[in-house]
Amino acid sequence: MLTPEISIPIYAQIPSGILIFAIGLYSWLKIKKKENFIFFLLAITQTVFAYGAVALFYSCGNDSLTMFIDRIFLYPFCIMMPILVYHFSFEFCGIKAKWQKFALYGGYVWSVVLVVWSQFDSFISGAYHYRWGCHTQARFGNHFYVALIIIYVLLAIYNLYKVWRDKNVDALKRGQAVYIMIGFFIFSLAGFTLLWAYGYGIYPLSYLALPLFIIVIAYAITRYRLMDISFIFRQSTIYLITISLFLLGLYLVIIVSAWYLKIAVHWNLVTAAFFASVLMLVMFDRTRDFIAKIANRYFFSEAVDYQEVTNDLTKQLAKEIDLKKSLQIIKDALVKKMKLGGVKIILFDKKIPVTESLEKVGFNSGTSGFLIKYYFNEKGMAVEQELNFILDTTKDKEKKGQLERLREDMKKIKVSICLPLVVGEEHIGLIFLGDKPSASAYTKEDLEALSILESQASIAIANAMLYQEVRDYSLNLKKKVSEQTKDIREKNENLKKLLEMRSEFLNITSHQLRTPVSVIKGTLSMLIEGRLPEKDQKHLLETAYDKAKKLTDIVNDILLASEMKSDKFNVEMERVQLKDVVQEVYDDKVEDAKNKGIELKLDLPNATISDVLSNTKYLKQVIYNLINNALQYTLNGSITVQVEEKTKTVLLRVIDTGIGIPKESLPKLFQRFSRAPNAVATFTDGSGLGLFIIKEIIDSHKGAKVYVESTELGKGTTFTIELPKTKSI
Amino acid sequence: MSNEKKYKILMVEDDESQSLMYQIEFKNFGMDLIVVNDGDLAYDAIVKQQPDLVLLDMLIGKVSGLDVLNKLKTNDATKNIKVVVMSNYNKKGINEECKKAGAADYWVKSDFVPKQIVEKVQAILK
Repeated sequence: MLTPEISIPIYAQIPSGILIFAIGLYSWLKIKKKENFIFFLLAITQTVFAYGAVALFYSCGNDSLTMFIDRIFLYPFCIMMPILVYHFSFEFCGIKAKWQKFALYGGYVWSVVLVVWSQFDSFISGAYHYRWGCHTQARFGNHFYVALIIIYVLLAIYNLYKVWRDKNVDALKRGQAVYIMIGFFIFSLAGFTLLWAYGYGIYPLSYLALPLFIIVIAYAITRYRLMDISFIFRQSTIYLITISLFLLGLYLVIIVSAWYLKIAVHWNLVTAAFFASVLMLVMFDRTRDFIAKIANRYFFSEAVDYQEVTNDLTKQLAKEIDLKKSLQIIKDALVKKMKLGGVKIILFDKKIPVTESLEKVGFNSGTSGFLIKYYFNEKGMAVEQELNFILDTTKDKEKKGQLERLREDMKKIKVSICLPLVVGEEHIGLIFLGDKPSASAYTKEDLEALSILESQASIAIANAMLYQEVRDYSLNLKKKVSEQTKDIREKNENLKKLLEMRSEFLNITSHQLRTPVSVIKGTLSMLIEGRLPEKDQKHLLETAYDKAKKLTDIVNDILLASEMKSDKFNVEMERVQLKDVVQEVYDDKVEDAKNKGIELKLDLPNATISDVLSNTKYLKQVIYNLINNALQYTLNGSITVQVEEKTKTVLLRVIDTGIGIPKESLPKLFQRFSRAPNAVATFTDGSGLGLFIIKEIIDSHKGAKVYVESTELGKGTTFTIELPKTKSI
Repeated sequence: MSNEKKYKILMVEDDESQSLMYQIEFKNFGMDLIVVNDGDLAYDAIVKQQPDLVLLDMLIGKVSGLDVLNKLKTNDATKNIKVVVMSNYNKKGINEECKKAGAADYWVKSDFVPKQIVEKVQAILK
């Protein structure tokens, strides 16, 4: 009996068996697709084949054991391989052809028949022994197995080749097809093992077919998402592969040196070591995390992964634009992650409500100025521990004093570090940091990390501030726009009303101007053409003359009113004896009233009264207008002009028994072109400017007033004017 | 003049000085001008008098000339009587408004002397 030499390929079967089983199982668990399941079945046959081959190697010398192993572990599984390969290609390529379906079912029947046949001596019996191992001897039935392999592997490759060359199939699928095709071709080379069954003892390179197949399939999975599964290479996967390569190298060294030095290797130990390494690989990642966690908790409580902190901070700040929230994120990063105590952030922008001034925090103004202007420009950040050292070496007395004050201020408010927030040249604020909770000193690493954090925080805060400013500005703008829109709308409404009033005024005024004109013009034309009868001449000419006088009044009113709304209107004040002026106007109007059938009464105090401060010309105009007004709206009854002296003022009343003024019209009474509704219906000779002119004149007096003292519809109205006495001013 | 039909003209006008003037001129041309000086009384007077033409002022006391016009044109007894609105009140669009309501024309008094008014009336009646 010949003890076979160890060949390297046989050992490659050991990890390959595990790996292909793992890939098969994973592909099936991940995606429950038919082709994935077939692949899983194929993987099972490959795994059993891999370990069966090793077992067969160790059985060499015991022919009945070799036969047993070959019949139970190798042939039944290996016979199923070609049809599974074909079936996989059938599903993968989505084959529809009938003859292929027939070939598939036929293949399964063929394979099952061969599996049964392999248990009999007409298939295999006896064993050949070679330098590299041993194998059962092929009998008649084995030829059908060889034929099965050749036919179905070729069919599978044919199907895959067709998909690969088909331009209509998408690129990913075609890429997958190539790799499966190459994989299956390589794997089919394992079939050369069968040469041993026919008495050819070639070196068992064919055992390398399985690991190569695995490599190709794994590559197709990662690169082309074969079977819709993908591996993502995590950092730990890289470690795993690296260590695996080292292990492979180690085994290679053991095997080669054992073979070269002809040392007997204790293979059980090597196998145990192999399994230990696999376990190690699997557990590596978890163990590392676990140890790190324990270590952080019990040994290095202050060890901070600064890279992680800054990465996290960058991510969070990038998502946040609100200033308050940004500040909170920075505070959280400092307190919770970097494990620094007592954080306070101050922004110099006074407009931002979250800001406190340095003085309010506890710095005196000199120190804060020094801190900002000098210290940060020179040193970047103020660290209390460093201040002691700097104080010792500073010679400049003034600077030393300021540094001492700074140190005192920092101590007072329990701040260990003042970290400036700088964007470009501008200091936008400060971060104050308290002591580390463990009371240990800030390390160089801490300070470096803080400096990086500072620049991130500065930019984030500056952005948030800018955003807030823009937002506030836009809100403010919106408010302003809406205010002004409202204002414009109101003004527009007023303007519209004014235009309506003006247009109504023009209509009325033009009517009032045309009426006397038509009478004067008509009368004169008839006089000229000699068609005015003698008896009517006097009356008509007098009427025309009256109309001409009225025309003058109306024109004067219009001119006066337009003059009043210009800036030039100014009434010069003088001493006026009201009794005299009233008397004069009364004398002028008493006849007019009589002609209209209205009694004009005068009610003056008997005693002399004080002078008032006014202007005779304009005061006369006021009294005329009041009386004219009363005459226009009084159809019958009387008009009384009354003067009464009070302590500081002299009152002038014009009391009529006219149509009265509706309450709703009182507020607009003194406006230009305004007329109460019942006044429009009544025919009047007025210009519509009478009361407006009165109001304007009285308003230009200091301390004078005009108002409606009483009014009742149908009963009459009392207009009152208060004029200040000259003494009282 | 005597051959012609004697037309009956009615004027609604509350200003006495004006109505007198027109009355004289119409008489000069052999036409009768009846004057009604209150808008309230105008409608009843027109129904009673059945004039050939009404000269209607716009501002005639509490009622407006347009109210009187509408009443005339919506009543069977008066809707065929010709009405000319004659006023010194010349608001924008009042001309069209009156014509729409059925007025034969709209005249601004100060634009014409009484003789011209008489001629215009004659022209309409022919």
